[in-house]
Amino acid sequence: MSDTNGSFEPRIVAFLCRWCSYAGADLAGVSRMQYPPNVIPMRVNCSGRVDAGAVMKALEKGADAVLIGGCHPGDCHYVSGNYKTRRRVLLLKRALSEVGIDPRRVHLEWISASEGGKFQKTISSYVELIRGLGPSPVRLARTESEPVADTVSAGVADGE
Amino acid sequence: MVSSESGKLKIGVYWAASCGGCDCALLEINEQILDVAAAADILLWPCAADAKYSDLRDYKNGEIDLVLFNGAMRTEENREIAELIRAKAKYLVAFGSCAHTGGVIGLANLSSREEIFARVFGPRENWPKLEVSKDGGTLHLPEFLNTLTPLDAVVDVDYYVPGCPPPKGIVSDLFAALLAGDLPPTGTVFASSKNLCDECAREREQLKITRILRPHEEEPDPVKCLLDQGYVCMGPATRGGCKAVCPAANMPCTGCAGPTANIEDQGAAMLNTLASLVGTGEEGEDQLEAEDAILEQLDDIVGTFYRFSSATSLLKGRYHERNATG
Amino acid sequence: MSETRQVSIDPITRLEGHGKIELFLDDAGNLADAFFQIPELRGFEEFCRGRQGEDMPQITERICGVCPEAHHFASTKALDVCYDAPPPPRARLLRELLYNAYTFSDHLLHFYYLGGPDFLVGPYAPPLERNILGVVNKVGLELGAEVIKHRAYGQKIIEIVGGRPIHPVTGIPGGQSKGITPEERDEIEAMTASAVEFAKVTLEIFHNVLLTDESFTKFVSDKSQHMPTYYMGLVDETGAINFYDGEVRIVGPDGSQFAQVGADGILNLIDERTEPWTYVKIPYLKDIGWKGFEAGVDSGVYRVGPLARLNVCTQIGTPLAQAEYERFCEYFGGGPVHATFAFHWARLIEMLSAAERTATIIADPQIMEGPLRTPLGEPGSGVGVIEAARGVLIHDYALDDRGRIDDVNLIVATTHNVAAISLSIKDMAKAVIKDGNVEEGILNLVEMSFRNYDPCLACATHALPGEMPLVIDVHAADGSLRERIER
Repeated sequence: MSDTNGSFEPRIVAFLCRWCSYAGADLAGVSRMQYPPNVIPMRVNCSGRVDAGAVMKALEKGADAVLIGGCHPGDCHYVSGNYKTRRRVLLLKRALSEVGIDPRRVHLEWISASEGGKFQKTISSYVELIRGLGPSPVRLARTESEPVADTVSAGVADGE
Repeated sequence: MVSSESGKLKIGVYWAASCGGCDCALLEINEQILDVAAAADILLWPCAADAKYSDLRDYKNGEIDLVLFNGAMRTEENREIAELIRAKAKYLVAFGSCAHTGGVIGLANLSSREEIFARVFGPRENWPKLEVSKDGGTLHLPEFLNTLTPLDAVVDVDYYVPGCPPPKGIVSDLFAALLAGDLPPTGTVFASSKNLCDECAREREQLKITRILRPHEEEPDPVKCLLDQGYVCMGPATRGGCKAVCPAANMPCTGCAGPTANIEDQGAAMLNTLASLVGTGEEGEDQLEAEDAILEQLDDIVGTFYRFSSATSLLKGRYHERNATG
Repeated sequence: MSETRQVSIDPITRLEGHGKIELFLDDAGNLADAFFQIPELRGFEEFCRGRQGEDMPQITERICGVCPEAHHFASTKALDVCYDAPPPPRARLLRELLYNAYTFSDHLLHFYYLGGPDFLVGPYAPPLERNILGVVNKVGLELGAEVIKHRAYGQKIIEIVGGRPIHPVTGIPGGQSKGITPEERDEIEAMTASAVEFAKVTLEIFHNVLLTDESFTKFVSDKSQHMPTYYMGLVDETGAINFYDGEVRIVGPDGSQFAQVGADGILNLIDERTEPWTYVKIPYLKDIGWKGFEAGVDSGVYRVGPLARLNVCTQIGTPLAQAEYERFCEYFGGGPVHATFAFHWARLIEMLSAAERTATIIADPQIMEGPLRTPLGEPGSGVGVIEAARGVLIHDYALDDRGRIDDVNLIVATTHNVAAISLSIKDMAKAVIKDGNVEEGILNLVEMSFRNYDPCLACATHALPGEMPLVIDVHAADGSLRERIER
């Protein structure tokens, strides 16, 4: 994958809860709905399983963005896991903003098992959003010898 | 581990980017220092004794039985001396929060070196130079590194003593073990393996946090858990071993001993905890707005959740989006 | 072209912080120049921005683990002003109790552990003996145990009132987070009484050991170790020294008053400059101006700390220390006292005064009664000024509407002394380095010149630029001044 914006292909990790959003993804699949191949799906029992550390780890390992799919409010198989996830994502976005990472690189979406179409749309629009944002600065910083940011030398893209 | 010549142990203490608090913490063992002096020769301790770098270079490799090394790797000199000491020491201890997890000064990674220098010295022409020729001689300054790291990012570390500074009970135990020739296996962390809540005297009911309180906003109930009352206390994500003295003083734990062993990112662990605890008492779609309002009361996520561990967090520093569109 | 021989003292020892001294010798082996370099910097001024105001007492105290109490309460006092919330009497007494216990403990540390060993053990003693352990060997275990015990008393008072012995936590805007129990009160009272006695014993040691020892008194009387500078210190409304609070008074080398201002006035009186070979910035009195590394009425170089405080005050404020101060004045035949080695004596007078103050404060029943906190107003800006053991410490904050640090400005004790320390080092090196003799004992004498000031170099590298003009001198390789750039 090239790092120049023109042909940049985002790599997005998607944590999908098995009861709703992963099933929704499956439905999109068997219905032959087309959506971009940029997503690496990870099935979890509940979106509540996805803690802040896991999202940060994904970014640290080179994901350009992380999508979390959970059940609609009121529908969580484990009753309230999705509410916890929602609050976690809120705090996580603020933490990311404070260190200069665009908070849109983490996104939470409620997708039910019957919403194959919603899954398709969500993925398509999220990939486009991240394509516009460009590669994650965490990923870019890792390509340097020192794995942290530096105003002067972060990244090699754009020929600056 | 007893050295053959004088029969005494040989120990050293060194500070890298440090405040001196860890050196003072060694004095908190009070008269036990006399036992240490009777059993050990102190070959290096710039705060309290007169050995110089030239003396350090002259020691043989492995000659110093144990070095207590505090402070983080902030300048090139810190790294060079860390490597020198690693060679001269049989056992190397990362002593205190800065050597362990980078400490408070790890927050400097949120800025670039250029931003720090501009803030401290102003325009670039005022910035210090690594080498200045003066009167036929040369004056050197060590390079201020782009990124601050803890000790084990530069050399292998044998033991860790967390805390800012490590509490006297732990220091006392460490010296007692050293003098008895009874050090634990390398890799040991001299702290509790459990989190702070385990030893905190306050009573925890694990209530929902319906509002966030800052420590000066109200006088806390002296008996109940601070987190239950709404103060952001890092206890759940922090190693114990300090007897929870801060909560005993009506102030929330700020996390200085770093994360417990099973946590990779201390701030992330606390984010998770708070997200679970914040709430109105009921879960439901109708509660979401109220929950958002509670979370809004939090300021300064990084400074609160990562105060002592930002240098070892998964995200480690500050980033700049290339296509910042706001 | 003459050969410069360069000799390094690296690192300098028995102080807080990183430093080195570079000595340039000429052909004859005499001193041509000396440079005091501070190779450390951590950047507090940058990463304090954006932090919550009330976290600053605990964040800024990590500037220094030897004097954290100074930062903790300069910070807390600045926040008191930011929130227009002066602490209630009980909280103020608790703070002053802790603060005087800290002053007692820090001065004790310096005399017995840091600078004192040079005289208690001897300046030419083997390096391995010039430290607290050598002191204990020399004075005996009984007295040694008393030294350790009384430092422990000071630390214990800090721990009881502050929550922890190092990096206390109880300072909050508008008050203290907790009080003390009646048992703790009684325990502290016994410790303060003992502290006063021990401070007296320490002064006796000073008189009987140092003042009778030519290796000390010669430096006291030697004119090359006298520096006629300006002096800055806090005084209360009676003109007495006060470690916790007061107005900033500056006197000239002849003792006449140069200025007296409140906390927010002091920043207007000071400018700073940089040198490319050190990470510390160098303050000087703006109205006098920077005339180079020299002392005198026409040079803006000034000093802070124990000797300076004794030079700016009209009295000490506590009876036993006052009597000792009168002995001190008599010895020197009137003030101001410019003998740099007098810092050691001044420090012990302050140690006694601090102990006396802890005894007075703990006896005040108000320390056990009444509220601990004043309700806060809206966040604004404020300056907190305090006397650290080593000199005047200033914290200046501006908070945003959520109480976060928008802007922060610190001037930190030892920073004020950097120019004077450089001068003292050079004066001593010039006096003792002859014919190229730079053996270890001679170099230790050079170090003794800075130990007078009890420097805290981690503190010193955290002055903030604020809006002060900066001046930079650019030297050519031959040392001549090529260019002066002013911002």
